Amino acid sequence: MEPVLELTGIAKRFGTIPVLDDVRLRLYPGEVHALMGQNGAGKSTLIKVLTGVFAASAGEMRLEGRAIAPASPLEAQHLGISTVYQEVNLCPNLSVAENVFAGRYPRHGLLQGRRIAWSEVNEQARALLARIGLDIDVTRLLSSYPVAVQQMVAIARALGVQAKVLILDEPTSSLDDDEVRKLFEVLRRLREQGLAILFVTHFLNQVYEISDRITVLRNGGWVGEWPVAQLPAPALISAMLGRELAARSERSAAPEALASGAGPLLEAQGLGQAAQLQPVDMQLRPGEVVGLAGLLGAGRTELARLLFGLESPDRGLLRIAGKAVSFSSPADAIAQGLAMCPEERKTDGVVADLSVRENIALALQARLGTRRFLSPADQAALADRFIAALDIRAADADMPMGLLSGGNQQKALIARWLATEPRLLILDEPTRGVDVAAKQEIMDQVLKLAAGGMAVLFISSEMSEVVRVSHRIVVLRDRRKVGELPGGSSEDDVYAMIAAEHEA
Amino acid sequence: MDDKLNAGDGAATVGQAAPPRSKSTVDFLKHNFREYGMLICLVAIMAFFQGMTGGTLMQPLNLTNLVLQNSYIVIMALGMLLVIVAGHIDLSVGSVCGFIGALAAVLMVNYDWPVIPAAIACLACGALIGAIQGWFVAYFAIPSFIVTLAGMLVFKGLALALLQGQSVGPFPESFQRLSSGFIPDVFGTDGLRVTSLLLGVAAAAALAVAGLRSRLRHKQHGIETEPPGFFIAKTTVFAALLVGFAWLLASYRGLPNVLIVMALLIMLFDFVTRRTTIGRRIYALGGNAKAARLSGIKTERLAFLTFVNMGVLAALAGLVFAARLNTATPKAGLGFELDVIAAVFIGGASASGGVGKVLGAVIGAFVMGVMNNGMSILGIGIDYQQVIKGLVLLAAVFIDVYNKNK
Amino acid sequence: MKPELFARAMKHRLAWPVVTLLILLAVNAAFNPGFLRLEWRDGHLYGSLVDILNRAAPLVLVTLGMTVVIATRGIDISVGAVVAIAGAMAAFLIGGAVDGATTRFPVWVAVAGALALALACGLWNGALVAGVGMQPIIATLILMVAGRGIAQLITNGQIITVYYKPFFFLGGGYLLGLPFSVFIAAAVFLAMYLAATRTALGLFIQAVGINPAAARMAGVRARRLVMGAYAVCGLCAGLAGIIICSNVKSADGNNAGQLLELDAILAVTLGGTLLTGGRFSLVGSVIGALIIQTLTYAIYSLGVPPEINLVVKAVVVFAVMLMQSAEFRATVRSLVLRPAGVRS
Repeated sequence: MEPVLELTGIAKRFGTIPVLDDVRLRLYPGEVHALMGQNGAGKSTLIKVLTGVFAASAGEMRLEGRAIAPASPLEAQHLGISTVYQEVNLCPNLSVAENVFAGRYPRHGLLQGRRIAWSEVNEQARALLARIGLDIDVTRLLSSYPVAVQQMVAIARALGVQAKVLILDEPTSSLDDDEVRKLFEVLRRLREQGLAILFVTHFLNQVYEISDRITVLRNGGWVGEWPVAQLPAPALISAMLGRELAARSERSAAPEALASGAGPLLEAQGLGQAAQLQPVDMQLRPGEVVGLAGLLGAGRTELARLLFGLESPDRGLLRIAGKAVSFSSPADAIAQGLAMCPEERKTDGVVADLSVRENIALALQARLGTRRFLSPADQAALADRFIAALDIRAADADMPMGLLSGGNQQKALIARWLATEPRLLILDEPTRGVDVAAKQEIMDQVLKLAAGGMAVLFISSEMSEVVRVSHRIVVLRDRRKVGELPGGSSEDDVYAMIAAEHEA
Repeated sequence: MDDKLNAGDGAATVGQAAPPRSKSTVDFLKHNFREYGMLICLVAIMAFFQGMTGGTLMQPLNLTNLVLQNSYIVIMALGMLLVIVAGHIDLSVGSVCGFIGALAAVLMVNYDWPVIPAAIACLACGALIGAIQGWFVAYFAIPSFIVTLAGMLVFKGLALALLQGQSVGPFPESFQRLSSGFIPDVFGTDGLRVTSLLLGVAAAAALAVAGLRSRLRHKQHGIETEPPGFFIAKTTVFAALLVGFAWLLASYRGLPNVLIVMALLIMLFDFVTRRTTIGRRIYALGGNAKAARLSGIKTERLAFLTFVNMGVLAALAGLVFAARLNTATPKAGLGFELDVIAAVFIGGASASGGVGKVLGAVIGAFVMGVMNNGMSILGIGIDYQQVIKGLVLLAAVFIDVYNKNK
Repeated sequence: MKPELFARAMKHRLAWPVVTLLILLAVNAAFNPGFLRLEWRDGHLYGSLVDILNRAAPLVLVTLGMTVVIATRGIDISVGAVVAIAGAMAAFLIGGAVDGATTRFPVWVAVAGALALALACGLWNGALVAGVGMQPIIATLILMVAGRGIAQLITNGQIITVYYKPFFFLGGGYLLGLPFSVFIAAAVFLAMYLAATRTALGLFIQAVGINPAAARMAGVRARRLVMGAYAVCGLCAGLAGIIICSNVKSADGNNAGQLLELDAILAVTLGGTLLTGGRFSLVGSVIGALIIQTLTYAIYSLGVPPEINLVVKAVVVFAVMLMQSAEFRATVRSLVLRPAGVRS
């Protein structure tokens, strides 16, 4: 059988920076093919090349044997490559039938397609939905249905345009177990009908449940393509990370044992949020560094956001220093002595047009309130202290923060939170985009802070960092906590725990 | 929620229509409440004021005035609906209205242009104004409220300049008939204008037939329909209302010309918004511009066209208003935009775009019109009227935001 | 002036507004002999410049309030209505006793009452925007529609003429030779300037306007801040309304403050604050208001018909908006710099 979609030698460069190099992909009709990889693997870039958002710098794409080079998402659609994105890209204010047919109403008599015969549109929409086993009132607004159903409508729309290839980009991120099950029934149906489905996901369980083959990318390169049965979880993780997982290796030196006796500063009991995180139990003691370990999409940031008041849990309890608390905004959490350095610094952290010193002083000022003002001189003194301590390269503390390099912005953000002298500091990917030397500095800072009595929750995609700096490691997988490991465990131990669940 | 996923039954149901279902009346009402809600509101308000004014509201003379007084608001509301659905707003319509009225006066009265060419020139000018504003909004992405706020100033000034601060009039007789004329009565009787009445009956009959045909077609294609009892009741009520309305008007001087113009425009825009691709594309644009673009919809051109359309309708409203007053004054159009925008929102449009119906906007305009009229009859001052207008607008927007945040 | 110094000065945010104002003053002086002349008459300064300052005071106040709202990414188009409401309340509380010596309530009560009502209007707007989550233009549209009616309610549908002399001092009196209204505006400016630079408010407002998500995450209580911004805007409009009422010695619910919101938005933009929110400049807004007032004066004294005033203002707003529009600058750039294969 010939593949319906074949990519060979795909490379993509932005200027001189290579993002994809010699990537290949083969999609056969009637299969679900999972595309996997960790941070920086190039998955999203590959999808963008496939869907015409970018043009490949080199390489060839063949659809049913013919060479193609879609120049826009619309063209890719017309060629037969349909994509369903995580944020359903449909119009919530239109009916289901309209969304299925937007832009392609069936031609009807007078005015050839400019007039819409609703009965026909509705009927054909129902037929399309029936093809995937969905039986709903197509005249109702899309917004009156939950996200899971909306996604299926998006899939039905893809079918309506005679898709040969269906790309699902992280479709299950906001679905609960039940909805995932239903989605998979639909996918199985479509597979039987001969559609080629490319399934991009982080959830290991789901990969093993629904896919037939797996392609793994790493650092912009192609690692391999395997039938699912030939790639058990440990091997998959190995492929994604590029390292062999030894059985049980040396324990590395654990960080200094922390001051004992202190009761937990933070206690989470069964803390969870529907479709985002299964109930988690966790504790943090003063002076302790707890690392949150897991693969991309495991739920680490979701947990952090719950702890900091950015999201509201729908079940479970949170206690700070023994007192039950409920945060409705970050300001509440900050008042309790928490601090969080976010993962997305551009959207959640950096106030680009304000100066570096204003940015650094912002959180502290917010906690002090309006009247206890930090004059520009106070701000400058504060900023200078941290600029020196964290070696932030800024021409002058008054320059707009948006002009700093990524790494320096990150350091300045950490400085902002350190300035509030919190009891508990949550660091979400603090070393992302930071040079090697600076990474080291940050890690040393973390240990120093803990030694000084601060509790730290450390999240990083670099497992080596997590393992090196934590007194204790909480392991997450597929939005659930799967266990804890003591400090000094090796990276392989962590991966083994992640993979282990699946073995069963 | 009555959606079901047929768990893996494997059978393709293509080509086999499921038997049509009629929901229970309660269920149906619940889901279509907003749609019929505004209409029920209007009827309730009319009934309320009819009672309070001791029957003056529905008197043929008053009813005729009601129609005439709100004609230009309704005409502009049709255009504003599309602009708001597309996600924008147009604050200049009042000033454009006044400016075009001034232009018409200058052309017809000062320069003795015949009516038809002058009217066409005015409509073309309106289109041009809409095009200029639309160009800046659509292609330069300048927020619509700034562009149209500036437009409001410019045209207010230009109207003043054109009229040189005076009122200009009177208009030729044939032009006046646009607003103050009535359709000719074939039977030539005084008292009851039978032609008008017959037109009303014909309209009611046409509506019933159309409804019936649509229902049959839905059943044929397997789409759900309203419960039969409800359908019969609804059709009868609407027919009765239409005939009753026509009879009341016929008892005075018949159907006003401007009512015919309004009716034609309403039907046109209702058709465009519900049944043409270009109309639905505007809704898609307002609902999710990104998705619309991905579907190949030229979103900028669409937004541009809604402004051009608004310009033409504002010009038409300007002509109607000037014809009604029989003069063009510098103060014409003051505050119209607020009435028009309020009408559209009261009729169910959403501030964030993508939602809103033509009939809703019309009903919204009449809700405010009836309230103004009723309150005037009762002698309630303009001040209260404005406050109440604001409160009604608040309620409408509130409901919209509440629904969105749910 | 040395060239480098000049270049640096021009780069300053306030450079263009100041230059524009100077140019306008120069134009006025060129066409009006005696424009720049100041005399001492009847115990106070007298001259065109003084006139401009006096008439600018209400606009300055409204502009200051509008600046803060715009900085939070919002807009308030109801300020004209609030001006009318405040004026109506003040006139009502003073009363229209013809003898000019009696008043229903002491002046301070009238002022306090009017301000309280204006504050309530501002809080109302703030609640709709920050609490309910309505879009600012729609939320303030409601008060714009209803506000005139409220003002009319207070005046009972008529124009209340006030004769009470002590009340006239607010808008028409002089202190130390300068109009008292200028002192009011200056005091409010000072208070706001201190609040913005000596308390954390300035920092918070700018953070909320530039990146609301990041500000919230840093612990800034954005909701309260936005509500406060609208409240301040209402208060400023109220003060302006009192001054106007005192100046024209009457309260007209329908016409007071007509189109004032447009002037205020224009002044804010001229002063360098972007309509997209973020960094704001109170000084710039004051200069912007003075520019508008000087422009109006120039047009009036040149004998140009008043409608042209409107057109000119609109064109200026427009030009400024175009400058601020990224798409427009890109188009100009691509037209001016013959592109070497630039893809749009």
